[in-house]
Amino acid sequence: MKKNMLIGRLCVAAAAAVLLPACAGPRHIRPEPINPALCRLPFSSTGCRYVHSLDAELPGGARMTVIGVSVIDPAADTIQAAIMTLEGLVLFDATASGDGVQVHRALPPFDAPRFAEGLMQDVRFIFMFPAGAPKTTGRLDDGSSVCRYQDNFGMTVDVITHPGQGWEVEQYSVLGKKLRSLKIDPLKNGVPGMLEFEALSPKPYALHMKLISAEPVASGDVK
Amino acid sequence: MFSAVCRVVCIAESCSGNKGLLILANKNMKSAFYMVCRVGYAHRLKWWAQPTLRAAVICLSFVLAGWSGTWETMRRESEKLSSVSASFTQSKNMRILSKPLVSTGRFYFKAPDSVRWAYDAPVQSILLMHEGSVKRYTQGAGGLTEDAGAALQSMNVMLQEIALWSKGRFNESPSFAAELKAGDGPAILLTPRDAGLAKIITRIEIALVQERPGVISAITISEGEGGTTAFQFSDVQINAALDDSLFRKP
Repeated sequence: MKKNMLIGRLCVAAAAAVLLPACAGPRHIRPEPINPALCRLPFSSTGCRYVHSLDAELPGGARMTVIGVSVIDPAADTIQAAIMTLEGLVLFDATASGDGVQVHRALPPFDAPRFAEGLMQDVRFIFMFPAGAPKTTGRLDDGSSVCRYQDNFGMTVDVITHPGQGWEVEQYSVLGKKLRSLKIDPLKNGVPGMLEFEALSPKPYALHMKLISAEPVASGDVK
Repeated sequence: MFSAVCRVVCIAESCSGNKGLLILANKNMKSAFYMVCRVGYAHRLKWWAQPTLRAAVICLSFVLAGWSGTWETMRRESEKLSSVSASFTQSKNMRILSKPLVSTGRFYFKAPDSVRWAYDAPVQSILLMHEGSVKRYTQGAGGLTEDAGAALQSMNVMLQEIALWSKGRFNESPSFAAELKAGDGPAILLTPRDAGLAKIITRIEIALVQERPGVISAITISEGEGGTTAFQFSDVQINAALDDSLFRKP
């Protein structure tokens, strides 16, 4: 009996060791006043159209290079995103707004159920700054400054500023599970030249996004 | 020659396993393009996503250059072709863009079945087809790396399929109707027969320059809702000597 209990405890300990890193939660920060403007810097506060080359690492190790066009309208809280092959075929085109996601075009495999919603959430995470004021601000052990935001659903978003070395954005679930991360290169002409996005759940994938062009758009221009 | 060129060049990568997709020129040219995808609409929709198919249209276009009014004349002209190289400018128009997204590169073809289709900008990408092997390289974060998608792995199967198809089993296209358009600006117009495919590709127009054999003016692919992809060619060189290494190494 004692032997069985010991084995059971060992199993629990082993499981915890495996699971805990994945559910470690947001990073520990030392509370300290930080100017939120520092955290907002890499995000456009006005409408912008971005064209990136997307080098995607998909589940199973497959690689795919496509071109992504994203039109962001923070004032209207609207996003339009399109994905096309290098040869110009539009694989996906959708608009996300307060009314939900409207898919204009989705070719296989981009027509899978829930794909559009998931992709538009990713685009929102990449380009839209978290709404509202930070719940707390502070510093990491390495001295980097952090603005911590929490939405109405309990999800946490940390915007970490590494002086001279860009930014990191991390999103955690209510349970502390890391869902998405984004590394933002230092700005060139006000726009980051490279973005490294990683979605960790439910299906992990990564995007290396190299800027091709960026231009301002008027609010309401998202079609 | 025409058939030899297109049978191999027009391999599609999008269908895996026993699924097949092919675009080729039939000898009698009753159906200049023949596209087959045995299993399913979804795979048919993916065909244009594959660079090899685009290479096919470009290749075919050069082959068709010199056309003087009939499919038969065109076939005879194609037999004179041993190599083609041309610079291209690709302009993508769609609603989300305020101005065309322009890509540039160079296209090479060497009979019977070698293709190098290289994009220089904005993303460096090279598609190589040579002796039945198809490879694609793209410039990613880690440099120029070979794509390892399942689509490329399916190429061996595809070549076997093509060997069957080249026995003349295709007399008409189930997917595209080809129409010769004569006049000052001669062109070939391809329109989908299938309503589902027509939602993705509404038409393909290949414009030819009649007075300059060997030179085409443009290819325009329309995707509906105002979305188009246009290829403009320049510096076209016909039957120049091209080394095989061009088709083996990125």
